[in-house]
Order: sequence, then structure tokens, then C-alpha cells
Amino acid sequence: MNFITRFQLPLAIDRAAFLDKLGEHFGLTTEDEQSEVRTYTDCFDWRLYKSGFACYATSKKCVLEDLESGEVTTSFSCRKPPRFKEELPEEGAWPAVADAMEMRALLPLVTLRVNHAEYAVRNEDRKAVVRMAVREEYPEGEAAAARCSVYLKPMRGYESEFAALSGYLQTEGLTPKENAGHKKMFRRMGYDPGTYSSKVNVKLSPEMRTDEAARVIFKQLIGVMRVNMDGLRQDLDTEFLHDFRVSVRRTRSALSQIKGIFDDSFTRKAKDDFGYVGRLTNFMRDADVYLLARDAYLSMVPEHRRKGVDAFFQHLRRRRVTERKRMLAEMDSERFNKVLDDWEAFLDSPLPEKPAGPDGGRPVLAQASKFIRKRYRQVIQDGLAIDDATPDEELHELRIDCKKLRYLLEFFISLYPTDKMKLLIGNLKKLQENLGDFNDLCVQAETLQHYLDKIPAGRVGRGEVHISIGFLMGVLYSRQLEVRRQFHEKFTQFAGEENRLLFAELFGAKKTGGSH
Amino acid sequence: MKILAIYNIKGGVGKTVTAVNLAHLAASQGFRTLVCDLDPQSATTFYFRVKPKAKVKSLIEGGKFLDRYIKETDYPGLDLLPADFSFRNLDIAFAETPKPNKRLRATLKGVRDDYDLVLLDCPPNLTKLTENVFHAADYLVHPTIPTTLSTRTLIRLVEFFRDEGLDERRILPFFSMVEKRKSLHRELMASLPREMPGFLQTPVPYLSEIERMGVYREPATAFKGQKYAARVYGALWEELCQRVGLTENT
Repeated sequence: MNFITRFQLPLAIDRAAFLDKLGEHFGLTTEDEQSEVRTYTDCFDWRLYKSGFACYATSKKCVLEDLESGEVTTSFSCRKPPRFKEELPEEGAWPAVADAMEMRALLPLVTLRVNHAEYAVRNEDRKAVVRMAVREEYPEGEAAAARCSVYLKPMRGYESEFAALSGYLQTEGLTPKENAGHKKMFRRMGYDPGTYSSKVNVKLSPEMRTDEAARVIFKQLIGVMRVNMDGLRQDLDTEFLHDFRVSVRRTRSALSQIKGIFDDSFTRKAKDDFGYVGRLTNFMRDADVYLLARDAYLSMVPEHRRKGVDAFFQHLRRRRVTERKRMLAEMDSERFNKVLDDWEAFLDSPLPEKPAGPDGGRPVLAQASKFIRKRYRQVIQDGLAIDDATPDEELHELRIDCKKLRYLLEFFISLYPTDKMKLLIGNLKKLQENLGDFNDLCVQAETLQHYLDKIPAGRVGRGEVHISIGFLMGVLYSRQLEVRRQFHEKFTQFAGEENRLLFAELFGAKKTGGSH
Repeated sequence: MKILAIYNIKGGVGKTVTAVNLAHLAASQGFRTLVCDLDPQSATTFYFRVKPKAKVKSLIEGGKFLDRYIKETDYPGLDLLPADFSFRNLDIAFAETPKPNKRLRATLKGVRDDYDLVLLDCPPNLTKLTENVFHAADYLVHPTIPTTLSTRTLIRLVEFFRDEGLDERRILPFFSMVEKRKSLHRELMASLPREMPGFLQTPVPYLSEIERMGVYREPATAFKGQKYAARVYGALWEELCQRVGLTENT
């Protein structure tokens, strides 16, 4: 039932006392009483919240609500709360939820006890004239923190009775409230919705010392690694590991690209350390990438060939179990923890008055522009050298250069006009997608080749595995050719006039010697 | 929107309880339902605990004059146009309109987007008002006590329809207040449907449970604990839905 008017019961007024008192003035009958425990869920990075949804599960059902109004959008019956999008129904608003979630898991956030009672307010003929609901909610086990709302719904033909009751409630100290929705509820429960993002988001000022700016960037990156560790260890979904790795990679990239800020041997050691941290997770990520794309792979081969391809995934899944144990053991090792702890201790230590590296004391804006300029030039130079006869390896080189350029743009985005930076990053992204697809297809072909004789054939049979995987490799190869054919067009676009002018405008060397 | 009239020229045949119970069943199945109590005795209005209040104008003019008097009942999806003692003048009022037989039909057109079903509880007679009902309703549900007099009134109604060029297939009689221990009831229930093939097959027995509606002032189909009347009317409603082509709303 949709109640239109909501009143907040003051904390000082007890629910039972309120009902007793109301009963002295109005005839009241209880029509319905329900009590349930709701566990609100969302993805680690608040994907439902960001899409305007709130979702909770009880022991019987899973309900989707509108974040703003708190009104129910849709629901479905389920005994166990859904974790992945595959467990959601393919109807109503659920596909939109699934699209927002992608590969992320729904994790429990807040557990609320909700006591909901509906009443009819009746006249002297015992005719219902106003519908009323009283809803009490509190974190399970903390009844003292209960918040109570009274909702009224007018009935057609009994408008004056409705006005009389809502007037009475206000004289009793109840205040009319907008529908609260859930934004406030999450905050009350100690959450800060929408804050986590794996993106680099640091605010730098142009005159900051470059070594200080680098510390700010590094701090954010290690922060992202730390917050993902728990979910990564528990394997809640694949993205904890992914975000962790991306931050490790960015850290290494920053160490090699933001030059001249630390002592050389220190920088070298830090790069080695994070190289070790990154390598620990390599197998897991590769396996995740394949397993996430399992359906896509299976659909590339005819139905009767799928058993052979699936044997590969089964093998991968088993190996992932053993490799995960190995990774977790290593993450408990002294070495691993020392790397992260020492790095954090360094970042928290006071900035030395005299920079350790020769360029550490320079203002960050000029240094950033110099790094970006240099990397951009290299991307253009390498890209122009690529033609149809160029070996694949050189495209991979270019891919890595582009990635480095992308990281630089993202590290230093706050130093430049946001809209232009976003445009530039968007343009770069289009080229990166082409190069990324090409690389993925090459790596996939190699991986399948590598596994061909290691996959236990089992009941499917060795011959069948070979034929199926061979078929798949054929499909992948033709895609690889197609992607490479598109490279030239994508690169020409990126290297074009628009970007060249943008790069010059944003990062061009400052002219000295006054105006002209 | 379907319009069903509950009608019999005779009084005391179970019209009102039929209207009240069927309306409650319809609304509980999700049909947005309006009951119009056209009988100045206002028994339907009483069962729903509403005070009689509507004015003649509500049915003559329609629109906001109708909207103003509609009351929400205690049952979700079920509204009522309460009767009023002034409804005894409905005949005269209808007679004074330009199209005296089709005025009610025009009035009800105004609510066709708001309701899936309108049930008309009619007073027992054959007047300008009931002629309006004949033109407005898609079907006439005719509670028939299996007695000689009741049978005669049904035959009279069929003859009237023929004389007026109305489609007599729109008359849907069913046996009401049936007492199986009476041999006359049993005999008529066996013979009458043979002569009138339109007869609904669900009979409603005479039940003290139904009489208690006046005490509780609620539909027998909403009684807690007592379920026999609910089953009987449920079966009648189901048969009626099939006959008039009402499909359940989702």
C-alpha cells in the first residue's frame, strides 16, 4: 500500500504510548502486522547506489527499492540472498541492476529489523476512513535506536477525516517529513556511499614540489590496495584482485615515469618490490579474465564443440583453486607485508627538506607537462613507424606506451582543465581499446596453445579437446586480423590535428622571454 | 469496463447480498470495482458501513457530480456510490432528460477509465430507472428463487426484453435462496434451466451465514472463519466471469 504522508515520531514518544493515546481519540483497528529482518546489499564500489537503487534481502525475498523515495520497485522470492547478476530474474528492473553490477558481487551492508503495522482509523459506524501505518526500524539487536514513522493514506470520500487526523498528529508533536529514501539511512549506519573508486583521484596544486605530489599519488594508490585486500583474500568477486593489481601497476608506472624525485637505488628497490607484489597475482587475474568470458568463448564454437572448450575452463578453475592458496600463503609472508608496510611508512614520513632526487624540488606542473609531452611524442613516433609488415611485438610496445601516457594523464588530471583532460583521455582510450583487444587476442592464442596438452581430456577425449580448441583459436585468429586491420584508422585519428593542438595547448613548453 | 446489473422485479430475492459479495470478490481479485446502490432503501450502502448521502444529480449529470459522492470502502479496489433516500425520485429525474432511457449509460461512460467493473444494485420494480439499467448494463444478473412467483417475474422480464427489442441473452438468471429440502425448489431447478438455456449453473442456497451480513455489516465473503458463503459466491463469480468475458487482472 502506498502511503502518501509521512510523519516522524519524536524519539521521546514511545510507539505503544502513541497508539494508546491515539486510540482515545479515534477508533483504531489493526489490519496487518509484519516484522522482518532486511539485509541491505550493494557492490563494494556502490554500483546499485550509483544507479539509484537500494536492494535488500530477507529470508524469503529480495526487494529492489528506489534510492530516493524508498518505494518498492520490484521483488522476487528467494531463500538465499543473490550474490551475482546471474541469480537475478530477467524481468522488471532487474536487468538494469544486472547491467550495473557486471561482474561484481552483492555484499551485505546493513541489517535492519523492520516492524510494520497497518491500521484502519474508523468512524462511529466502524467504517474505515483513514489508512495508517506505523513503521519502526532499527539495526538488528539495537531496539533502543529504533526510529519510528507514521504514514497516512486518505480514503476517497473521507478527506475531512484525513485532515482531522493529520492535524491531530501535528498537535501531538509529530512532524510531517518527506519520504526519506535510503541515502540518510546508509549514512546513519556509518557508511559513506559512493566514495570508493579505484580511479586515481588526487588534488594537486601546480606549485607543489614534485616529490610531494608523487607521495600524494602513491598514498592514494596504496590506499586502494589496502581496501581491496580483504575482499581479495575472501575471493568475494574478481574485481578486488583486479583493482589491487591496477594500483600496483600504477605505482610501478609512477615510479618509473615521475623521474628524479627519489634516490635511484630506492626507486629501483621499490619497483622490484611492487614487481614482486604484482607477479603474485598474475595467474589469478589471467584465470579470472578467461572464466569471466567463458560464455563468450563457448558461443564462438558450434554447440557440439563446446565440451572440448569447456574442458579448458574446468582445468583452469581447478588450477585457480591451488594457485589461490599459494597466493594467499605468500600474502601472509613476511616479505609481502614488509613491502606494503615499509612503503606506507615511507609515504607517511615527513617530507625531507632537501629532496632526495635532483628534480624532486621542482614545481609539479612543469614536471608533469614535461613527462606527458615526452610520452606523447614517443607514442606518435612509434605509431607512425607501424605498417602492415610490422611485427606484432611493436604493437605491444605501443600499447604499453599508451598505457603509460594514460596513467600520467590520470595522475596529473587535477593540474589541468578537467573537460579538456577528459576529452584527451577519451580519445586515447579509443586507441587503447584497439591495442588492448589485439593484445588480448594474441595472449589468448598463446595461452590456449600453452594449455593444449595440459588440459586433462577426461571423458571428452584428447582428440576432441584439440579439435575444439583449434576451432576456437581459428575464430580468435580471424578476429585478431580484423582488429589489426582497424589499427591504422584508430591511430590516425589519435595522431590527428585535434589531439596535437590539445597536447600543445595543455602541455606545451612554456615560452620564456616575455610576450610576443 | 464491464457493467453488470443485479436485478429482479421482485424484492427479497437476494439482490443486495449478491451485489455486495460479488463486488468484494471482484475487487479482491484485482478488478477495480464500483458498486452503485440505486435502491433508496440503501441496504448495500448499509452493509459497507457508509452513510447514505449521494444526490440524484450524481447519476443524471455524472462527471464531478458523480466523483464527489463516491466513497472508498474498507476493501482495497472497491468503491461505492452510496444510495440516498432521494433516489426514490430517480425515475422522474431520468424521465425528464433528453434521452430518458440512455442517460445512465452516458453517466457511467464517464468512469470507464477508473474501473474494470461496475455493479448496479437495482431497486425491485420496472420503471424508467430500470429501463436505464437495461440499456446501461452489459448483463443482468437475475437472482431467482425457485418458486412459481419468482419464475413468473423472470418470464415477464424476458417478454419485456422481446417487446422492447432488447437482447434477452443478456439476462443471466441463477437460483438464489435455494432450500433443497423443498420439493418445489428441486422440481423447478430441474425444469426451468431446460426452458431458459442462459441459466447460470451455480445455485446459492439459503444460508444463515448470509443473513449475518446485516449484523457484521460486511460481505459474507470477507467473514473470518466462516467460509461456506465465500465458496458458494466464489463459484458463482467464477462462472459469471467466464460467461461475461472478464479475465483476471494482473
